[in-house]
Amino acid sequence: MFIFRTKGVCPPEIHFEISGDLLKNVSFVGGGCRGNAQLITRLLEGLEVSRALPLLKGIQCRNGTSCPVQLCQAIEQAIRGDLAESGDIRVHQAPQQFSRVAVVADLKGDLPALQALLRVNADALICLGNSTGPDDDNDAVLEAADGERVIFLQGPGDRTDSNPHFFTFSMGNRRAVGFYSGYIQELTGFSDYSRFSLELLMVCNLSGYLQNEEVFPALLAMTDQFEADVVLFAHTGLYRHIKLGSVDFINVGPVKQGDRNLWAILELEGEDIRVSFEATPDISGL
Amino acid sequence: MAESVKVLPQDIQEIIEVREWDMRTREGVKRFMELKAKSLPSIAISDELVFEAIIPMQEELIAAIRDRYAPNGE
Repeated sequence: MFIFRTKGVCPPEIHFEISGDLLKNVSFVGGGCRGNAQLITRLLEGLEVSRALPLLKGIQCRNGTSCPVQLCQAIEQAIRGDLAESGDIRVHQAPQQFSRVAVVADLKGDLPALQALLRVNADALICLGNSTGPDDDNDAVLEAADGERVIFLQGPGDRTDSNPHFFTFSMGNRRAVGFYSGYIQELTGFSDYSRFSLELLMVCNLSGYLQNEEVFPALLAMTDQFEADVVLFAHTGLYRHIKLGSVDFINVGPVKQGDRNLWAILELEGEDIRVSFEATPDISGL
Repeated sequence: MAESVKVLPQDIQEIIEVREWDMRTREGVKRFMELKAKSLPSIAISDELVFEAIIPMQEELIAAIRDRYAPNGE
């Protein structure tokens, strides 16, 4: 998929694909006239690029340009190789409901910590990112997690790039999403308008991982537009739980904390979720 | 909030340039932080945060604009 950042028109982004010589999935994102935009999408779907380009040129709207002209420029840049195709931002949605999950971060190849985590009574064990790292036990960690209820998310320090960037799951009526940090917005496939981008930008960019409490009124106002009402993130090294309005924000720190292993437990209680942090002694030296 | 700006009288429209920032975007959040805003909605006039967490009455907004309007040479 190509993501083109526009200039001078209402929608800030245009997303599209080129398959062979055919235009696919053209989408004007983030603003503008939805009705006309949807019509353009339908009319262009599957049209040869060579037939589409003349139709898009020469249309004026404002600022000396228009959505069709911007799309034309985007397609021409893509053909010339001046617009790189965006990588995927991977969102994995759990197919089943959970009633109890354990969440860690920054496992960094620590096999004893993972083995302690595997002993936790939970439907799923989620590592928000950096599950592998410079330690030598990476292969053992991946092998131990294989087939278990373990979900590894992608972190900036992970040695491979195949895990989901966002993981979303349901607990009762609550919708949760987990991610490592704002590094995801630096990836080429990131769009401000994609699923869970809002949650990420509000946590990371607006509130500084919830450390800037001065902007909590604004953060609270924006939560009305969230898809998730439980937001899990890592990066800061802190363990923290804050509820703003109807949204639970849970910061999960590294699993290794001195001589103990620490994780967050989310447990469904009726309609709500109870959040706690549990520690077990680190027995790796024994 | 944007609508309250759009319905300002013509003589006010002629002396202002309106820019709306979307808080769902990186650019919008960056501008919010630059203005040191804390709440929504917010209105800044000439880079100064003037109204926060309220949608001002037309008269208030017009007065705030006029207070800060300095025609060329004055």
